[in-house]
Amino acid sequence: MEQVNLNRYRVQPGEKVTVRVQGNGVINSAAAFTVDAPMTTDPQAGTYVFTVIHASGEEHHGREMCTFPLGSPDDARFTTQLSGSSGGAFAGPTIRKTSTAPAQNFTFEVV
Amino acid sequence: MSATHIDRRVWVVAVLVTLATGVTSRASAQAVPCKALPAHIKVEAGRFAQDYVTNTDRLTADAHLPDLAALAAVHALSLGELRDALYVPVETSDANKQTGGSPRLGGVASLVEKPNFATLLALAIESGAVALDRSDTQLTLSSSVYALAAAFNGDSSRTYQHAGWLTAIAFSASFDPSPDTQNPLASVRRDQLRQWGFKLRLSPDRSVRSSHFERWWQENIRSVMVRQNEGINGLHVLLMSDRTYRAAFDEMRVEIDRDLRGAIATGATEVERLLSCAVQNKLIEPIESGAIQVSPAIVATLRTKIVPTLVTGSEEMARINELIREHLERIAGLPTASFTSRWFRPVAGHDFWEGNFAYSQKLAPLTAILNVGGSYYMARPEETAPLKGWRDVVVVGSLQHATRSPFLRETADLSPITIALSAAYEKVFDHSSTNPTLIGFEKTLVQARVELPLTLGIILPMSFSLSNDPELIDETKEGTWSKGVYFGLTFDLDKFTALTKAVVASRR
Repeated sequence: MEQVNLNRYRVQPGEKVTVRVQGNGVINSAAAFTVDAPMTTDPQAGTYVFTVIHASGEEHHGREMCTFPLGSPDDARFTTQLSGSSGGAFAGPTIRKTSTAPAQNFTFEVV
Repeated sequence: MSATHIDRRVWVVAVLVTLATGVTSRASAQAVPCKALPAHIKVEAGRFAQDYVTNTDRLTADAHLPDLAALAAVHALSLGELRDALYVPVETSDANKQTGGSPRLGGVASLVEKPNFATLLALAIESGAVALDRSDTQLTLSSSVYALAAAFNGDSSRTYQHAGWLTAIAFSASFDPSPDTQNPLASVRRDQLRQWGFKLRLSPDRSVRSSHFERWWQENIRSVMVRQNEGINGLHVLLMSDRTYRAAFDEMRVEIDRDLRGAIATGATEVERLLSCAVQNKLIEPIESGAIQVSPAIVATLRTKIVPTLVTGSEEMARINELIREHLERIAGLPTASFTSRWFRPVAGHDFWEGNFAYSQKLAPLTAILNVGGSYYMARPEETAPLKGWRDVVVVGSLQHATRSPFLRETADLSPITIALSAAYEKVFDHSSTNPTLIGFEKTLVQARVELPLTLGIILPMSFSLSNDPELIDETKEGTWSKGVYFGLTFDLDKFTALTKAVVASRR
């Protein structure tokens, strides 16, 4: 797995990708990650694992949506870490309570 | 959901219909000048632009452009906004919260004690007369022990998860802000602190931050959030599977990514202009003109799968709203109970302790409140002839009706006008053998009370009462009932916080 930018990654066919969404000041399960591939999820732990099923030259698209229940601190945030079974672990984007857009997209280029 | 949310969904459907009908006129995407986006999409572009500028991670176009390009309007279904919108109605519509002083104090506007209490802080200034010829004024501060934890750690979800149980314990103190001019020799401190004590909530925490509500939220709301996320992502995925759409999107993304680097430093306005122009010129107009022709198979899938999913999603949101409303109504209908322990130091007379059990039950459309309590004389160490024994027993019943305030109709504040009719019976025990002035008697009070919410947690309570208290009846006048008029001003920091947070959130 390679990081192109915070929201774009290069992955290999068949690679297992792990996305960890960690709440800070807010419970992990107040976030949801979805992707266009079969996925195993553990919302309480904030862990989402999917296998790259597309062929080289295609893309997987994922989306992370967060909620910040009222009463969470102003500096509450969700951090995202991504790693691949072929190697590579990266810090993804952070969605903050102060963010005007509580969702971000991810693109996984299959190379 | 607001009309804006509906408009956004309409826009999504309109874009999809445009795709489905395949308008045939052609024009060069790059030659078309930048037109303004529809207002609701412009709002989304503005939000994304703000995020690009303020996010210290230096986001790229990949973060938000898919949403803006394919489904800008679906942000209307953001559950974060929904939950914020819920908190305010729940917090401000609570008409069962005790913010004033003890009914035993003179100058307190309520005859009955409500079982709920403020989580953060409530301040009440009440003035009135037990009888028309006797007036009194009280300043009451009440708060829960949780407020102390919140003061140190912040009133966060994490703090609440660990220390939320402290909301079951409250404390209060009432002061007389005007020194007793009739007893100038009495100490100012003694004159001013009239009562202090604590209250225990006996019923479970039923707030929207309770673990019970959190579990309910996870079980009922999160699944909708996930489906909406899947729906939005699915739309982007499907559109990107079209070769011409993907080519246009990638071209736009690369251009935006390049331009963002300079525009982020310039400011959100320039980023918003870039995003707006890109979406208008590279996608909307080419699709409308037929320059981008999405394949019929994808259009068919959009029509048969994605659009119904989005429509179902909006219907599901409406159902969820109803589900949440029903859930909150059910919670509001559950009985609540509390026990209060207070110590009184009256300006004149003997100190005493009071224990009071308060219970409330919804009997739609009314709420019934029952108080049962008693007080016990507490001797001070310096007293040479200490008075001990039960002072009195009291039973109070009240029926309360809450209705939406017509003065707050255009605001998020759902603080209701409450109208209550209460009756109290008190038996004062005879201690004339110890103190000739403490003669036993029985009395009955009836009271009509109105609480009028003004703005931002400020409430104006008013009441009128009749009493056959033999100590108050003017024997020179006819009749055996004395009249009393009360008024006050209370401030509820819980409601103020909820309302101001909502105002700040709406301005983001």
